[in-house]
Amino acid sequence: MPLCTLQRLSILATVAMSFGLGSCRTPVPTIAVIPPVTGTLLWETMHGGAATEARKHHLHVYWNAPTEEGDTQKQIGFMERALNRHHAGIVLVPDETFAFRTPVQHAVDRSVPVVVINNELGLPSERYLSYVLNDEVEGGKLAARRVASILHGRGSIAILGTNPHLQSLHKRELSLERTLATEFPQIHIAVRKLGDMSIPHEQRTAEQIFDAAHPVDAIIALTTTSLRGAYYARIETQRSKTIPIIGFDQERLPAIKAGEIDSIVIQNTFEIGRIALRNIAAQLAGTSVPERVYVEPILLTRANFDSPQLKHITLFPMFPWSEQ
Amino acid sequence: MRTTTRKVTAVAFILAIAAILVCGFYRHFVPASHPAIAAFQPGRAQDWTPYGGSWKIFNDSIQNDSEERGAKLMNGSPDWSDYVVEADIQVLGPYGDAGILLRSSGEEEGVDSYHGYYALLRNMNDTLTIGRADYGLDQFVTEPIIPQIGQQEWFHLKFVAYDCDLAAEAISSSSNTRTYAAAHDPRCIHKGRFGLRSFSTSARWKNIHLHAATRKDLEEITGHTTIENITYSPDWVRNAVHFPPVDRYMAPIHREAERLRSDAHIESIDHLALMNLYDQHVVTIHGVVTLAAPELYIQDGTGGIRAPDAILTGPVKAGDQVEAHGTVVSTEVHPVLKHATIRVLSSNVPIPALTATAFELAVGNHEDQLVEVEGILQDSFRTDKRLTLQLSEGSQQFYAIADPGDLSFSNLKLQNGSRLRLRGVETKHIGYTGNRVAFAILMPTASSVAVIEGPSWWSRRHIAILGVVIVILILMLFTFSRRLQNWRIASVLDERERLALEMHDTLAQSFAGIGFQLQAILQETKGSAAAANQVQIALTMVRSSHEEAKRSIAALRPRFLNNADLVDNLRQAAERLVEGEHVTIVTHTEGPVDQIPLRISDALFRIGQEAISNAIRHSHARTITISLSLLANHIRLSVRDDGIGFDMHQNGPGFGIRGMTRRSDNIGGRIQIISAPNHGTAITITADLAPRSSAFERLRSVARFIMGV
Repeated sequence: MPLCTLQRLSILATVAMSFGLGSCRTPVPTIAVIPPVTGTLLWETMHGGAATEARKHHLHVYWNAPTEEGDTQKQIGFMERALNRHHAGIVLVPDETFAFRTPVQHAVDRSVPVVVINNELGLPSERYLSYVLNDEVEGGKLAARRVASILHGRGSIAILGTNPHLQSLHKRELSLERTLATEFPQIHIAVRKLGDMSIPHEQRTAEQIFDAAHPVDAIIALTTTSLRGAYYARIETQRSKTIPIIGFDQERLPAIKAGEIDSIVIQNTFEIGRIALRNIAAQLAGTSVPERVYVEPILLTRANFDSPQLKHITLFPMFPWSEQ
Repeated sequence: MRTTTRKVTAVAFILAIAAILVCGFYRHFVPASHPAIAAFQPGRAQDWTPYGGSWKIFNDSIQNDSEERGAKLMNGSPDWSDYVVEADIQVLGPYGDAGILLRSSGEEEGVDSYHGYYALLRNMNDTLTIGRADYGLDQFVTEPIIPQIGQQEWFHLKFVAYDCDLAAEAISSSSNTRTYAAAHDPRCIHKGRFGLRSFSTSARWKNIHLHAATRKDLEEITGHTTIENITYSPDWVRNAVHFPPVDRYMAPIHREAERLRSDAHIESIDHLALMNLYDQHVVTIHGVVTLAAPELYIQDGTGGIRAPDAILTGPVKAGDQVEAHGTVVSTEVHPVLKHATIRVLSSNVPIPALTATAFELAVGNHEDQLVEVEGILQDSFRTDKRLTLQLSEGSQQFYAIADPGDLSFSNLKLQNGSRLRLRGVETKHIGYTGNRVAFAILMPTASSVAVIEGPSWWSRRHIAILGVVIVILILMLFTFSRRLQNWRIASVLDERERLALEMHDTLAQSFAGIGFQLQAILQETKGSAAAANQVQIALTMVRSSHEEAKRSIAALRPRFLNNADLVDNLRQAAERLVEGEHVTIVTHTEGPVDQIPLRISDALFRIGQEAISNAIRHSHARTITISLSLLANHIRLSVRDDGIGFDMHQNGPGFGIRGMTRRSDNIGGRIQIISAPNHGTAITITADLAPRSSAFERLRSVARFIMGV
């Protein structure tokens, strides 16, 4: 029986609608990863780890941060934006402890999984909140054993960049001093200097140490700012060429290869990012995760600098970000 | 009819879907045109959109003063596909990069927060790089610039996007050496806007040009270099096998170390106020720049100081740590550092702002320091050199002053009555306060302003609008209720019409039929006088009942299309009642009778119909005159007959007259009956038509109703 006009139009409508409906897809869950700043080797490496793990779990990563380090307000804004956009989870590296307690609690109250990196906010771990932390205790040990190795177990050192108000830094220093005291009692700490955010100030502090009547045998810089200050002071001060510098966190790595910095205890932020995404994926699947995961740092020296096992930390990741 | 409606609906549905599909096809597959490239003007501030940074346009060049990572300034059309952007670029800082974006979309504030291509000049390792960002930077090709990117040297950068090929050329202004880089992206981004970008450095762009690209533009560059074919492998690290040679990094590092060195004796700023007021002291201070324009302000851990007439060895901006060497002058309340030579030591040094109330700033000693304060915006005014916000908080009024040339300020939309939080350098200098307010806040960037709370909704304007809306709603309600009333009346009339038709079709026809049968019986019973008499009586009764039925039907049918038909319908009703009789019906109308409201005309019809019926039954009239007039809102209906009349004093009002009187009272009218034996009867009904009330009067009556007055 020939079709009437209305029947033909209905069939055409059904075909047209099926094309439109056929393009509909279930959206891929998006995980917001918010470091204190992006574009640095320290955090872009974490980006690589997070993106690698996200691919395995068919998750999409939204990666963004304030353009200036220390902009806590903007970082909180990114977190709030992630909640408003209904992202499936949040990985956060807070650059401040107290101000982030409330925003993180808000997210957890909304059953959004949150993984906090490198900062124990004081909030207890729970179903939707877990921590992935750089093992500062192990980092302190690495630095202590390295300086002991350089000084053959005896000598004096200066510790720059101390800050009793930062918990992670305090852990790092405590572990360093404890290891020296227990394993290398003949190495004594001759100078301790409080850290500053000003590189010129740190540089002047280090220059004074280099220019002292009885200079130390080695310098350990606990922060990237104090490392840069010490390193620049060494460049400018002719007497300082033989005083080795050991630092923490990825900063001025080419100077290690050039032999101008002895070693740096670098964070394995690739692994940190990978574990954080793994935790999020597990929480989305309803599986419980460990409350805290500690990731061991790595002592980077000239000897192991070009090691293939470390290139994912020492090189900026060149990942096809369009696939994240 | 129903089938036609369904067809129309189905066709409309199909057309809608077809329209959506066509639009999607057009947006996706039709090649982008370049209608706006020719219209590009770099100096037109409103065409640029900043994402971070502190951007200024002046003298046809664009400058970003901020050393934050990833500041972007966007322009152009999202539909631009193959085009070339050229610009002269100067990287001002010692350790960063600056360049051009192409085919960009999805921009946000953030370092690599966009989807697009980037060609950059990086002085931390003296290279030209082409890359792609998708909220993460993927560097395609890096080529060394020989010998180096000199301190604040100008480079001419040309960046081409054609099909899926990208190419860049950098020409040194000092040595004229050229560096080339090219890449083919198999998963290319096909179109998007262009922009300027810098990373960890301030930078300048000038002579910005763009035009549609041809293959020749591409080949002019690719003829000098190999096109890197980008492969997307499943491994996350592509191409980089080992760390690049470090020597390119060491020279910039050593340059920075030398730059940061200082041998001078450094004074603290608070100590400067204790120096001898009469002598002029030459001092060196270290501090962080809290404001660079309109004047330089420097702050250390002990206080802040203004440094007018500063001699800059390079560009300076807020957040720079500087060494200032100048003369302390104490002629004002606060010392100033005059003719200071400024050397930048480092950048992006955070300095916390002191949070205080307006009162605390007015009475306190925080001049020349970075502060944060809240206030309610009262007014704003703009000149070429200054944007001034006037704020108040508690008992204090103060100003907040910004540079109107900063693009981020020009995009700021602030409403009076908003509560703002401001960060900037406090000053009590007469040049800023005009001696009219206690202090002024000099703001470095638009991010110094945060809107805490918008203006209260309850402003005079909004209250006035709300009042007008309420008035309109009341009038609408009033009009609707009137329409509802009319609709109710029309429904009643409809129902009467239906009853009348029913009665006509059933009752009246039955009476007529019975009458005919009786008539026939009468014809048959001619021989029996008694039977004929009874039949005659029955016949008379039937005729009388038929007449009553006809009258009742007529009474139920006040169906006239408009009020102008009132008299005509009365005439028709009269003619039905006098059918077969020799009675003349005369009608008169005067005035705009079609303006009589339905409720009143219905009542008049009933009264007129009863009067006519009485005249026909009782008066034996020859002529019945029906008159209707509407003059100056005064209605008058009269029914006069030339019949026998009656003595009004002897005959009390019957049921019909009582009915007419009741109906007249219902419409606020008066009924007058004049009759005398042999002088006919005149029934006149008068009523005042309520004047057409103005909206205001209707409103007043409603208000009175609400208030119970």
